[in-house]
Amino acid sequence: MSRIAPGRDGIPDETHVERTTWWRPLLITVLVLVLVGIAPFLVDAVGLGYLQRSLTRVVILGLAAVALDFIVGYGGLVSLGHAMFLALGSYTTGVLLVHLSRGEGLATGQALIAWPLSMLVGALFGLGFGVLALRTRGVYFIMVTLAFNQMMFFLFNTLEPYGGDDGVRLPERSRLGPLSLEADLTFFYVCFTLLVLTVIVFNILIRSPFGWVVRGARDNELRMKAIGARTPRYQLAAFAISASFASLAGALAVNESQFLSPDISHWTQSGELLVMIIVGGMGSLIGGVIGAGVLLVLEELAIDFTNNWQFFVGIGLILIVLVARRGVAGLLLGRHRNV
Amino acid sequence: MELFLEQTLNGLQAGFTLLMISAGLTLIFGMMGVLNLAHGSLFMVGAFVAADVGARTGRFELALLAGVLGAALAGVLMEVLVIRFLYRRDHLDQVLATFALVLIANQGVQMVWGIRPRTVSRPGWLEGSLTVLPGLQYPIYRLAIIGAGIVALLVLWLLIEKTRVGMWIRAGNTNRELLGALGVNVTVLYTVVFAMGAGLAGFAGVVAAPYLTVESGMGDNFLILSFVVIVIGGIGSIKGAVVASLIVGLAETYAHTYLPGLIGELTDPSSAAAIGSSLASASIFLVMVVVLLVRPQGLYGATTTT
Repeated sequence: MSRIAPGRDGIPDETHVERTTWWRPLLITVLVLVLVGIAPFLVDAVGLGYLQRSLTRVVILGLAAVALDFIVGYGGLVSLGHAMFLALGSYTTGVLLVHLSRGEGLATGQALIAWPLSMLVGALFGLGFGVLALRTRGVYFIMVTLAFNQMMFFLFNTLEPYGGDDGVRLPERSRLGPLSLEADLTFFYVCFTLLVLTVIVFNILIRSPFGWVVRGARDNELRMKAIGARTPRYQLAAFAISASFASLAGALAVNESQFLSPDISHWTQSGELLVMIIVGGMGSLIGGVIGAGVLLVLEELAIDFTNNWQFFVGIGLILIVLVARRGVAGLLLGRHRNV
Repeated sequence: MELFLEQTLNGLQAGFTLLMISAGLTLIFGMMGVLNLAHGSLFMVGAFVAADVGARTGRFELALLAGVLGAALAGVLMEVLVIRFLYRRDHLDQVLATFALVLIANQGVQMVWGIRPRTVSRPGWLEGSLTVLPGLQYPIYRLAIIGAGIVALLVLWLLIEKTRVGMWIRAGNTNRELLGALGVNVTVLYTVVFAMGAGLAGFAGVVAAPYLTVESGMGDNFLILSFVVIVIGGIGSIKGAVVASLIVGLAETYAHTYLPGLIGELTDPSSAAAIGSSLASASIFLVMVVVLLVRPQGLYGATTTT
């Protein structure tokens, strides 16, 4: 908020904020998506073909980061628990696949069933945890979501039928209708299509009346209540929608790695999603994709030079927070965030 | 009955360990308004330094001293290099920067001490058991942890309530600018308070280390548990931290002891152990849920409008 110029009464006044043209964010969103879409061929052309699988992970985690940015950047609700929604999606889709390979009941390899089901599970847990976490705001909200994340981490670790803390391998990926997803390039484009849809959905949401209430509650919840908006309901809905899309990302992630493991719900994964938003630029939606790209590609490149890349990621992150707060998207957009 | 008493002592020991971490965390938050995710890393640094010095000298006392000083020093570095710039930032910035510190610390201890887990052994003079009650033997070392927790807490309380520095700390909680205007060097005061909280976390790390594996990331779960403590107790309240730490320590211990048995009577014993232990892990979070529903500001938290 600090960069929004104070109005006459000292209260942040958005009319003082330097505006950008309306088409610029959309142009950047389209450019980034096009770049991601042709990336598999680009990396091939420059002889970095081994990055292909990382690109799929960029798309998947970018999708989760876009969903998280919706409540963090636009809702002002800093969730440090979104890894649990990733994991809920992974376990919903993964368990159905494990059952299929074991010939047990309650099994399906059909993505058209498993992935929407994952989103439903994510949304329901999002509602449940959201009701509780939204009893609080600010720093409490961060701590409560982190605590729930840890609880789910423990629970996933004790799921012995699915490998407990070791996890379990999935012999095959989901099938999308008649389409096999075993080929990495096919799978990439399925994930990419879902990413594009997700970006479109959230861009519509933030421009809808629903989105304006959520954004209004971020800036001044009391004022929104005063004009008659029942903000907690809107925030709860926003949280559940965000959770649901994070679970979709989880369903894709377990298909990508073909390994169902509780590690995806580790709290540092929640932190990394937040990092992606900040690196890419908070409150821009597409920033999540940029951040996921920057982080995962850096990781992939750094791992050749040092085993201690996390150490340097940490230092870089501190510098970003202290110096370049607006992220890559902020630089591209040349404007103040969140407007 | 003996089992219940023994588990109560275990629960108290867990509670006091947790208290030493959460007291510092809540003190720092109350005064500086910074949510420090890296507080658990200070616990870890304390344990690692103690493991190193303990292995070199074979003396627990030296290891303890080194662990506390090491954690305090790490705390000073943290405050001066990073945390200091976060006081006026929003919580998201604080979370990200201190999350970065967690990454640095977790990797840093591996760079310094390698990836092999280490151990800290108990001091010889605290070996053995004491007959607490007829028929109940209890390890002296665990009793010593409880004792150390009580002493640390008393010292902290005396410091905050009865000394001039404590007066500054309380004043800094209320109004930083005014305190500075009165001629107190607030910058140094903050660093000192941060170092105290860090030293206390390091102390907890050293005394708990004999029961744990000293490894990268060992502080993370303690950090999250102390967040649960703070949510239950109310932010910035030392009294709340005391009550909530003991509740959490006891709840977790009782749940781990009795839940598997209770569930075993309801279902078949083979699956009971697994279900019981996952429920036991979840139990403290359920305590938090109840507090959130009944009193979202925490047991001793001030009522706020937001």
